[in-house]
Amino acid sequence: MAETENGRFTRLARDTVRYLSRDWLNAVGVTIVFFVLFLAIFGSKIAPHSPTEIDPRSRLQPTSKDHWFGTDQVGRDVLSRVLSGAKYSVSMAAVILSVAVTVGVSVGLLAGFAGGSADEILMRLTDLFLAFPALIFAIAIAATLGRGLTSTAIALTTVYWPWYARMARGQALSLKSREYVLAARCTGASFLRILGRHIWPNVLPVLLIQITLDVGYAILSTAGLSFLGLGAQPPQPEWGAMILDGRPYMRDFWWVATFPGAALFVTVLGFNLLGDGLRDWLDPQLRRAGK
Amino acid sequence: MSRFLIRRAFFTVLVLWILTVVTFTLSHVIPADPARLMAGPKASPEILDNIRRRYGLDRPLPQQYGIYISRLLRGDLGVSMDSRRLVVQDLKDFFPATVELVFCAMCLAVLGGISIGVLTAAYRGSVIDHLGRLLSVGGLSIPAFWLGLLLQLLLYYRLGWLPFGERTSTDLTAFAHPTGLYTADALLAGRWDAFIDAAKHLIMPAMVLSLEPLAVIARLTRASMLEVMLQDYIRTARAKGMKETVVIVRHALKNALLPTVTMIGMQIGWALGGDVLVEVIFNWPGVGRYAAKSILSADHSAVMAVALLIGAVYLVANVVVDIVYAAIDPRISL
Repeated sequence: MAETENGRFTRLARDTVRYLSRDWLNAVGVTIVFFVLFLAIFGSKIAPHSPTEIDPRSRLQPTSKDHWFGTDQVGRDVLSRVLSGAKYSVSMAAVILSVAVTVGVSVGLLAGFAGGSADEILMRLTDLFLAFPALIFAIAIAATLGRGLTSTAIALTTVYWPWYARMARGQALSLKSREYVLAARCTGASFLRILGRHIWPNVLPVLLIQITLDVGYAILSTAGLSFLGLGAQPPQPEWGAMILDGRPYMRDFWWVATFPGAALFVTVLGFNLLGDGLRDWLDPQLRRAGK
Repeated sequence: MSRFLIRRAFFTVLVLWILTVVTFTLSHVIPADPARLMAGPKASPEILDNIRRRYGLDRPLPQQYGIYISRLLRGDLGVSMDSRRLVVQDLKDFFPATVELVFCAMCLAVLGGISIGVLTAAYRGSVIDHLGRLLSVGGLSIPAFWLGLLLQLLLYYRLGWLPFGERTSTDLTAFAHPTGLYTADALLAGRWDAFIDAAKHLIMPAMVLSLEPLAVIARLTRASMLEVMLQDYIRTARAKGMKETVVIVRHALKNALLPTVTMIGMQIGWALGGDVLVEVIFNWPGVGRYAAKSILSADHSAVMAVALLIGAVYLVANVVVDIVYAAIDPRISL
């Protein structure tokens, strides 16, 4: 039976509905992620006040009709800052992961297929990176390069790419000797064709799941580095930096640090739920066990 | 076994050496001028030159590295430009605090994680399972430093149950500290009051630090248990009429724990990283807080020493884990 263009779309739609209704947490995850992405693009526009304009007369006001999340130590509206802060977390995660994945997967696939000494060397190299606790490495790099989100992005990319190299290499190794790959090689298919036609579609699901789960880690790491003073610099309304700002005022003005933290929590939770749902959906083993 | 140890020892030394090169290069490329940071903004050029000469900052980089390595091999880790003390002394003071915190957190994580993993696997699909999985995914998603602040707000400011931070509030110099772990030392000296005090200070940071490893271990244990419980030998055990609890604990758990053991090594690494943030929040006088402070003030010797120490701890922990894994799994011979 020929598959029409329409047929593909309805199948995708049906799969999506099935995915969402499988577990209510899946729907929660997807909703949160969509909401955060929306905020990343439109957050500043829907913010009721300016996220950076200071107003010392209304500093440290509690939550009220005018300021749903209260004001911070220089009078800025916390809600507006939280809404505008989404774009920092999302864009940092996007930049870090796109570079890390590109570099890591390329290196890993190459190492896995080339085999031999190239593989050995590349793997020892990634082992070195993996041998060191990630956050500390990131702190050291970020401190070297100076404060700011650019240094943080470079630092975190350097820390993340080995994981993808490892994963891609594992995939390459396991797929290298599959029958359809051997068959393709027998019939003279070029390296690129094998890569694109046979390897890539099998690597993609695992890769997507890993990326979704890593978005959460990237966001938390960025916020953590900002909390230490290394990442976002004032007056950028990045959530981690906002928690740093609010820390001295926790006792009597808890809202300054609490709301940005809640935003972080919900965002990362959304991505993790999405990743978990995708993993349950796409993992054939678990499906066999009859989830 | 000995070949394995030799190989791993060699690899560990190699990694540590490369670590010295990397951290040395990084910390000496820092734009901040350590001499000026030490002397203050009003220092005259003569004072700055003096400082540079004293700490060897005016020599070319490869030479500085050579001096550094030769000192390192003699056990001299240099002087901290911040505290003006030997770095070795600083580390000796701060390392036990971190050990106590990380050890306590990992114990909580392992015990809690395995229990939750087993329970959620055994009662799969039920309310317990859902709660456990929510806890896991929540534990992975929550920013540790934010959780720390919230717990401080609740348990210290509002309820007054637990202290704000630090390791102790009473004068604990009245007895000996053989281990440097305040809880253990207090017990050894028979000082129950000091033990309670130290434990009260330890609980919050340990709980916060344990959350992420706990979540990871719980998930892994659950997945592992589910896989194991499909095996034939489990079916046989049930067919023989064994009670379900026995089946789970005696047969399934032992085999399901294998991947978890490997994961524990990696989790120690994550805990060492998250430890920095937790120590900063609770003002815990450990290596993590020392590292954060040293990096921010461009204290070269201290930064390199801490990097080496943490790298070494992590590598050794992984070797130990590999040995334990091989000891548990009869199929593996080193």
